[in-house]
Amino acid sequence: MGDLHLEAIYKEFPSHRVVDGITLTIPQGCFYSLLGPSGCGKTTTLRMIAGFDEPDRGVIKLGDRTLNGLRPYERPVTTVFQSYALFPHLTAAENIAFGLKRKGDPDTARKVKEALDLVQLSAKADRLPAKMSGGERQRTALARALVLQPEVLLLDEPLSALDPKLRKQMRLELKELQARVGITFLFITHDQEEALSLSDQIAVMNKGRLEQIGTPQEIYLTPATRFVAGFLGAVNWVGAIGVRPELTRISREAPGNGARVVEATVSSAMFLGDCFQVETKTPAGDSIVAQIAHGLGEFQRGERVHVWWHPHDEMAIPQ
Amino acid sequence: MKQRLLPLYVISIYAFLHLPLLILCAFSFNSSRFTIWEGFSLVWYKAMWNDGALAEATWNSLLIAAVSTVLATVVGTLGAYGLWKKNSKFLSGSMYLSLVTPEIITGIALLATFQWAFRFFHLQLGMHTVILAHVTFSIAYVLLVVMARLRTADPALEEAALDLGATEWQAFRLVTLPMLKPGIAAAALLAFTVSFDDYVITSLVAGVDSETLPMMLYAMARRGANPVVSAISTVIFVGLGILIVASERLQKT
Repeated sequence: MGDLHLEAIYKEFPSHRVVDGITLTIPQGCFYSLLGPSGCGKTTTLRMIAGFDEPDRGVIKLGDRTLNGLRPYERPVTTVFQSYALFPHLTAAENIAFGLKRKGDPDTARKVKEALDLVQLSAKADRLPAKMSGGERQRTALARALVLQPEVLLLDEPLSALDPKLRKQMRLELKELQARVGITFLFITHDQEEALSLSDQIAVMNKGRLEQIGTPQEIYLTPATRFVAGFLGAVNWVGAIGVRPELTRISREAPGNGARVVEATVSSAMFLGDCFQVETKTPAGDSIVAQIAHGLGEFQRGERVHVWWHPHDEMAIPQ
Repeated sequence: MKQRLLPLYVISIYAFLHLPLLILCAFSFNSSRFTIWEGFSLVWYKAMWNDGALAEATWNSLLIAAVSTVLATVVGTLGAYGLWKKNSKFLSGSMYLSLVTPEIITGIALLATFQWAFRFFHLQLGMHTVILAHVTFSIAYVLLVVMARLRTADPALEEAALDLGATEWQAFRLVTLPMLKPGIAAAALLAFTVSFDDYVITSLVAGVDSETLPMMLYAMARRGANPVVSAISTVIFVGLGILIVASERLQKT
């Protein structure tokens, strides 16, 4: 057991450098997310940890054991694939038993039963993947990987194939499951909402490099780069200062008590259900969007207003 | 108007396709040896059953088809697997070439190859050359069917097997092969039928001891209308028809 260390990992494919010097430590028992847009190198990073690809340079360590050069079946790491990759000719129970049988585990039957219970699939044990719903497939894939009691569970966008409603439900289940089994989860996603709601720690990746590592709050509230600020949510930029639309206020009268104020003209106002989204233009040409609660009044197109926010809500990022 | 013409059109097409075979089939049950209907009889089927040379040719055909099917299925399946892993357009594309090469050219090429090889080995044309030739042209069919199955497979399946502790060999044997089973069975049936059917290539590379059923039928038919030929043809047609239907069924699962 131990923390998972990636030390100066590089990986190049014929067309381009996919992973460009990544160093990070994933603490044991942590729900850790690698967040980034598609093509940022996060899946390649996962594949190097699983052993499907080897890094060109750099060391992957689990505790003080080096994983480099070990075949996938020699690593104490299992994977939940984006496509689930369930064996189509095997039932749920047989899929879950596959890894235990390879290891010749004498306790296979009991462990499979426990794993099925863990993901609430006992009633579907004899179903083939083709006869399962998306959520059931997902749970089978989870149980199949967890039953081997890996030291690290790798999850490659495991929720992306589900419809939005089911995705939210599985998100909750995933979080509870991780708390129960206590295994390190490395979660790969491009969905910032997923990463924010699930993770203890997030590493944001872009173009093969790490942009920032931190807790969800740190990453959202004090992003280190413009990329991170923009990838995690909408930002209004006023010079080097950024402020989130939901923290931006609009009023007809000038606010007091130390608020930062910009005068602007309303260019559009949209009702979004839970709030109004008001877009304004400053004389300098910057566009500032504010999301304001219903109680704070309605604004008309062309109206001159004061756009303001509290200085402690500012994100100062050097360009 | 349109409603009435369409069934007529369909019937004409099916008649155009199947009428010759139906006529052949009908006359195999005719008691006369000429193409005038004189009453139902199984006399030609009896004659077929008692013909020793015919039995030998049938045995040859079945043996050649069975052996070449086994060999072509093994080689073709491994080849399809390799091409799938390699993912090379050029290598896969070149396999289709042997499907569109005219049979007569394949036959002549094989004959030339065998004759060249016989300079080094003291061998003659015979069963073994027919089997080799059949393996050669059946492989492309096996590849085609197995590749079609692989193309719809999730490439992550083998990785998942490795991830769960299987070695490369176990991943192939326990995951890929079972997944391919229906495709392999369909490919084998197809290989069997193309081998059993073949006349052009077989007649070029056969020796004295390896006359096949199609070769014999061809020789008999050349000598004039013979209801025994009709009877055999009917039996083959029905037999192969069953195999093709079985192969289609397997490809769907």
